[in-house]
Amino acid sequence: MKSFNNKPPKLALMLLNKLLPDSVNDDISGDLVEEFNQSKSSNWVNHCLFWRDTLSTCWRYSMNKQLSLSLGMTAVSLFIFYMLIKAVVFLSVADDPFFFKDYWMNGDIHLLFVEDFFWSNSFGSNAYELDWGMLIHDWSVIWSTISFAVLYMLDKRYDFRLFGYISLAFVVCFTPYFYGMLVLRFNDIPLTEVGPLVAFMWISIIYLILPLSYGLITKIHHQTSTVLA
Amino acid sequence: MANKESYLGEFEHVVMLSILSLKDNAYGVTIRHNLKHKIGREVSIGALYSTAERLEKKGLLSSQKGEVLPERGGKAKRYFSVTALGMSALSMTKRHLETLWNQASVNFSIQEEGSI
Repeated sequence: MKSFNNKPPKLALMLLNKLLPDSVNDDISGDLVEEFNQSKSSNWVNHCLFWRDTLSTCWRYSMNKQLSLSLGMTAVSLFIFYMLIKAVVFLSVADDPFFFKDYWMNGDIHLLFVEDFFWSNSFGSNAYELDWGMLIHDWSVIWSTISFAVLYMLDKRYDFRLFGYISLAFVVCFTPYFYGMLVLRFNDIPLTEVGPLVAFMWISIIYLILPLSYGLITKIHHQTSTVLA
Repeated sequence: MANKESYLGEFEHVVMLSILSLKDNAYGVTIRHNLKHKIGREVSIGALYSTAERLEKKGLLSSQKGEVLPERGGKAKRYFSVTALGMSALSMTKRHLETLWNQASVNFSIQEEGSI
């Protein structure tokens, strides 16, 4: 077994050098090297502690709250966007028996997204069969345009705080979905007429999710820089 | 009227007291060592430096580079000291805490009398 030498790991030092800001780079790496050299623990323990401190410090300086929130927001939005596009593609090529599921009639359409066959079906193999015109839906265009414009103007006027903006963006984005769920649950709509309602539920979100996320990320950056100033 | 900027957070308070107690030898390694051995608090080096940077921006701490030593891989130490503004912020925080503690002990005694 290869033994550890009594020098700090070079790779960790290189990471510190690359990832820490200049203002603290020498101070932090110098402190860690000094602690490493003063420690009376075994070399193996010293190496582990050095790596632990290196990784936690690099993480702290490279992943601040603003960046984490923005990345998380982007990931969630892209995932929802992808999932709904995939759902539209999937519906455009699905066979008739697929539509005999109860959730098309009772409003629990989100159950589609936990079906094995939905995720096992690859997006790429079906995408070429999609009529991209299916992604244009009049009521979704009207809802998205008006609601986004109203939210934009209200935000300009009142400059909502982050939580307020998130709450309103959620309402704007998902109102068509909840509206569709309620309509399907409390009305006996024939299967042949469910399509336009599902289109309104999904396509509105497809239109809104990315612009709203962009607005949210901009707000996160704006509010963080205001606090820091 | 008290300046909002001079209110100290709990960790800021602890770091500044540690720097004061270390006098001329307050730098990353000794501050971490002091906090660990005096109050049993393990502090990551990143947390310590980001707090110290923030306190420097507020004008409560100052720092200066020290000697370059081979046991530090040829890197210099950064010595911290508490500024006059920092001392007044510490003093104000101490006064406020004492006021609240005194008030709390009065309330405790009322509560005890009430329960008797």
